[in-house]
Amino acid sequence: MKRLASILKDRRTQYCIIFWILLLKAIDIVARLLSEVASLQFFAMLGFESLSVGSRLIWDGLFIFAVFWLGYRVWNDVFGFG
Amino acid sequence: MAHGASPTQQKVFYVEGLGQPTYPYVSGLGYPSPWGLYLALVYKTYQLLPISPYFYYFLIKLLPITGDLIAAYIIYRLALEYTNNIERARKFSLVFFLCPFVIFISSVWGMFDSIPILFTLIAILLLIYEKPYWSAFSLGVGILFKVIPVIYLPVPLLFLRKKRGVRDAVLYLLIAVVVPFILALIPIIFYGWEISEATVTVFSQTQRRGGSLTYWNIAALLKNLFPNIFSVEALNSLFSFPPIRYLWILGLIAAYLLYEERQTEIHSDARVDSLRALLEGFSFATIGFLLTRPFVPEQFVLYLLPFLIILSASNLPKKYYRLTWGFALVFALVNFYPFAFAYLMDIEFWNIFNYLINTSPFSTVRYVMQFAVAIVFDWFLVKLLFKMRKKT
Repeated sequence: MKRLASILKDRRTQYCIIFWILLLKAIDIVARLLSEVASLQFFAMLGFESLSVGSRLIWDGLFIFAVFWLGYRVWNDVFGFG
Repeated sequence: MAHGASPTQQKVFYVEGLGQPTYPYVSGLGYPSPWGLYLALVYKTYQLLPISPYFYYFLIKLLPITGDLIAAYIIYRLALEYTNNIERARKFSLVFFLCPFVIFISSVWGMFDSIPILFTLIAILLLIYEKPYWSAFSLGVGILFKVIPVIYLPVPLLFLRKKRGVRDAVLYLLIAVVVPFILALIPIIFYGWEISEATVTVFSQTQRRGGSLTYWNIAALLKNLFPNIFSVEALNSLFSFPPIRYLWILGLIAAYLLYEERQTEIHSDARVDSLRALLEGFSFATIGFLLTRPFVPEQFVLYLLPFLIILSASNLPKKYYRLTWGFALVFALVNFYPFAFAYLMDIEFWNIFNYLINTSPFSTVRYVMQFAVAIVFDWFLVKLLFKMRKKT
């Protein structure tokens, strides 16, 4: 548990998790855009359109949290505040 | 397929006297087309020479077994580069080829993972022989057979960026992506298959419920114990939740970072050091993938074995190799795969086993055992990862 906590405290690990969440959002957006084209509708499969209302809420919340988390990290690491 | 139909069509009907008489049809293949084309060739050959259904089964398994044989030779070449000792290289090659789990997957089950593994190993060999574009071509062909080797792609890219610069890394990426894309497209255009149908079948692999050799198989156990709470809908909802469905991407990002870290630790340009770094990078990617993907079929463990056996020449105790295939084989036996072929002896025999493994309390015992083996295996993989990370 202690080891896990220290891994999560690591700045690089935090950037990895933030990057991963943003990447998933990007996959969702790209899949949705491509599936708008009639012959490329199958790309919808890679996206998250089929999520239930609850899952959608949690996922959107997680994405917004990741954006704020990224802001906080950049604020600390680039500008040296905090 | 032997008549030009798409390998990804939803229903492949039973041919009298061939294959499983237990279901009226099986679902289409979830891979790009080469394996389906090979099966079509096998069927055509059997039609010309209908000696016995066993001849047909033998022909199916011939390609995976040939894959094992050539992979064993490539392991010999890689081990020779790594150890500079012919006797040890021969031994490693034989240890892989005669590994019971390798034999089980190719010769008993007839699963063809040895082919993408072979092309992945050739890609590593060509990288250390400083033929990066042929290496990219080989990795691309591996991806064409089964998409799995795509998880290794960033490792050679990081390797080349350090050794030869960004330009070579970008060219490598282009070749490794374009080659399988074009080769997959050719039969689709030639036979006039539905491209959307083929792609959906391959994409569907990213959206599977948790199961097999991973801690996520607890889902099957919970569904068996509490079917009202853990319904199919509830589990589908859980496994379609983005951070769970794509957890493997995070696992791979972590693996690539580990490789990058290891690469910077190695200051020598010697071929043996480059090879070790690459083997470790490919191992990290495999372990990261196995630990985070919600669905891990037993045969995915095969991808780890060649790297572990060669690395055991220096810094990795051999017990890690033995335990890796040992756990996977035990899981396969618990999963009752040997009995999947019981219909060859007697259809009633198969029916009895099928009834037992799907009826409580036997099914519950089976799910508990599957979960127990998977948890121990994943714990072992974490231990292996830390062991590999520690060694310098």
